[in-house]
Amino acid sequence: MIGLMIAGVPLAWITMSLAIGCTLAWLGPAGLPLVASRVYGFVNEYVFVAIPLFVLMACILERSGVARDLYDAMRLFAGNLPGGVAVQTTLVAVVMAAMTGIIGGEIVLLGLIALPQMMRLGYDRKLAIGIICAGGSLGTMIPPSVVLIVYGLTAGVSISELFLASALPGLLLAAFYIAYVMIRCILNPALAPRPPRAELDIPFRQKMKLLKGLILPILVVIWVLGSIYGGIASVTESAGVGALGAIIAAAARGELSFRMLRESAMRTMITVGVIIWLTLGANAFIGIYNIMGGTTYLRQTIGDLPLPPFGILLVMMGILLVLGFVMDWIGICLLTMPIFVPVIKALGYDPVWFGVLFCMNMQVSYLTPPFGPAAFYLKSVAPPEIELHTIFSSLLPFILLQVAALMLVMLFPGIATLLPSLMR
Amino acid sequence: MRWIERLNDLLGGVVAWFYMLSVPVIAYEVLMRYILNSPTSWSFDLTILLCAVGYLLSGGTVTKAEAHIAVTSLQDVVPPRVKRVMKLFGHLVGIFAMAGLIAASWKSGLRAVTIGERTGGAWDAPTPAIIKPLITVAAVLVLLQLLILVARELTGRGAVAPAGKGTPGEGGPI
Amino acid sequence: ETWRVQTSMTAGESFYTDIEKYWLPRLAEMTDGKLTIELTPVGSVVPYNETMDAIGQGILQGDITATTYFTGRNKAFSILGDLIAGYDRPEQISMFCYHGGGRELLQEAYDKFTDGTVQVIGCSPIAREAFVAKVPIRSVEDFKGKKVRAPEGLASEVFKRAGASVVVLPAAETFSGIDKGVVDAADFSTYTMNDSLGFNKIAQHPVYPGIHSMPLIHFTVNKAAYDALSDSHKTILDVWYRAMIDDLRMRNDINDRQLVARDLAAGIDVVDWPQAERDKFRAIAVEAWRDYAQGDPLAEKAYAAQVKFMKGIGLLQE
Ligand code: NA
Ligand code: NA
Repeated sequence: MIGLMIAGVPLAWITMSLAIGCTLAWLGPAGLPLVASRVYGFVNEYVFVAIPLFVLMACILERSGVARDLYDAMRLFAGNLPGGVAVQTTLVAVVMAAMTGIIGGEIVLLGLIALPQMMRLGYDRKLAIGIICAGGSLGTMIPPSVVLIVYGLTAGVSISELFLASALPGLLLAAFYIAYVMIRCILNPALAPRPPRAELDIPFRQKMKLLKGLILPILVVIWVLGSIYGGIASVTESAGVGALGAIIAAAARGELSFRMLRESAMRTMITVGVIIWLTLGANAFIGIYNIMGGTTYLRQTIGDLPLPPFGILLVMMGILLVLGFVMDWIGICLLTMPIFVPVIKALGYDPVWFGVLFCMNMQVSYLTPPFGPAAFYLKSVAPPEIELHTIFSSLLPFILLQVAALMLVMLFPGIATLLPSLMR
Repeated sequence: MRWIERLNDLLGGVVAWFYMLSVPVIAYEVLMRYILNSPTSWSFDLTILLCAVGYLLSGGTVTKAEAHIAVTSLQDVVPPRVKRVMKLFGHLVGIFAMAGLIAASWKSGLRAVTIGERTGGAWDAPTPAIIKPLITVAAVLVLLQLLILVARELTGRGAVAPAGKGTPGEGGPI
Repeated sequence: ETWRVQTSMTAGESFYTDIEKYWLPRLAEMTDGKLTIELTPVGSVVPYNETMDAIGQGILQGDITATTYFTGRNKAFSILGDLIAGYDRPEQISMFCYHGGGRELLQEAYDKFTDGTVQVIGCSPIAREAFVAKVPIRSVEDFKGKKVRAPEGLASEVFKRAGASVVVLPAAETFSGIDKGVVDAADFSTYTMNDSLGFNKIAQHPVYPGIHSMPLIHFTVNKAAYDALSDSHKTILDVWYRAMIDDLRMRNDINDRQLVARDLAAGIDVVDWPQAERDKFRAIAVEAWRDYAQGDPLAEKAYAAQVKFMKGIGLLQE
């Protein structure tokens, strides 16, 4: 797989060929319908509808001047804060994480809006890429989160407790990212050029004019969050509500035109096509992997480990990390949870806490090569000169931060269990 | 050869609007449910159908634009001849994948059409009878497009869009 | 021989763990280890509503799943699999399956859609579901204007006729939907399952015993694999499945009752409909079943068999 990747074979073809090849080897031609069956199941998944809708929202916001004005205002706001705009982007990522339950849409949105703006403002490219991929992945760490819902349904644990439990660890991750950016930028101010004094000292009236750039984006965010938390729209529907909000915002600026809508639609179609075709094969692979006895193998590995409970937990986390290199989270969940959950319960660990650990582990899996969905999502909208290997190498420090946060929550379960225990 | 590319562009251009169309569909449902307490039975299924058709039929356009994600750093440093061989190899892997997907999907597509398979939901839309055969159709379109790319690589006429660098949607249809 | 059997259950739910813990070892013991089953959770190999074809093609050797999931292929699967508001107790549905022609009809439906490549071993409901409700729903009248989440199948038609506004939501969105108030009530799962997911905390008027759903869970296997079995193994499979479902049902019933007792003591408003209201709801439902089945020979046949059986045991008036 890695050989094919380096040879420059498109990932969509690698993953699909792998699924087809394994099916042929294991079941013969008669087993091929398995692949079609999974492809069908995947394109029929309602929660994924949020991806095109989020991409559409992003394309419209980007094509109207909303994004540019937002970042001009943010730069002014950031003032002399080291890495100011990157820090703000992380905060934007946290707010948007509350608007989406899946990974993908948010990274594409930040990739379309934040990346060009941060590069325009002279920010270090690798820092910008890292913060967008890592921050954008928080979509499944901060509620609502389909990962936590699927874990909850799988493990049979309370979804509201999972949502409460993941909130602090999610913010912890965000705090780690912010601290990292600020430390890097203090050590090397060239990574994040601060606006010149003259620009910060502009007259009050002009400042207010720039700040107006914040109004529309904030209104769109309130519009989406309001639709979710007001019980007006389901989480997936709220992505559509957001796209509508973006269209209204563009209209309010007098920038709405047929041409602009058509360009947004075309860009959405290509971006989503790239993402979906890449994921089709990866998803099909899960089915054949389960048939090949992946679960049995795992059961035997875990089954007779002469280790204390915490050691078993560490082994599980290690397995999740390793699987995260090559599989997507649905596959990992299907493969491991039937074995892990009963063991966790038998060891007397809190399955809610374990769910948070699982979810944090999946944050890592989004960033790790060779199968790193966050990198793919960003690549699908990044300028062509940003290569996949540049993205992956930008992500390394953030992966380390994620693993550090994961260890913290393992050692101090209270970070996760505090909020749910207060609500019980 | 030309008509396949035109067809792929046409389909891509049409399904691009399907995502846009989902917005009013969802907005209508939210409005009817929240304000008038009379949710539709069709918004859910229609949204899925629009998006699923969009995913599948955009495959040809994405392939034509050579927009699929790949690690191209090695290709960029090798001599042009080697690069051409590597690109050809990539297309061949794609052809294998699509041939496999066609073999995998045509029977279930045919069956879904003959039994008139539906969702079984409140609207009971014929989504499976549309989507299942479309998997085969999409794979055929991508396969044909890949054959065109192979032919172009062999005759040395190069791709229309630079590999992986299409900035689709910029100025006119792609 | 080891069969790979997918289920419609998730790995953490008690049904799944109980099968793994108590019933898979028993099958191995009964067959001297010659026939064993490896269970995989919902969606692990193919999507939950695609198992029918996968078994016929030999990708899976079997499936333990809800009959109603195949409604998209034919409405008969819904009429046979989850006759909304139909029966009072799960045992009555087992009777219909094994002694009222249910299993034969299911086989007929399977034969039609898999060209005879799938064998039905058994069918029996596993539990009576509890209705998730954020607002009190104590009678048919209370359904008026309420937004109710319904899955595929007959349910939406029946709720609609009772005056509810039916909202289509996938399982993954149902929890947030109830929590935030997108819907007022939901057809979801058993009291035990709803409780473990936290539904009863955010929707404190659960209706138990449920008024709506008692899904039939059937066991199907690849016909060629089945035909290759010895007669004794065929009998073992039949008896094993009957005993297993009865046992799972008992275990779940005890769990449900214990949780309900706990919640009632804690002041949660567990709603139990009076028989008169249940009868009223059934009267509405019967018409929905009939209209739903109309126009499809197989569904009409299933409807006729259900009604005949229910009249026979006094659930419906002549
Ligand atoms: Na989220
Ligand atoms: Na990864």
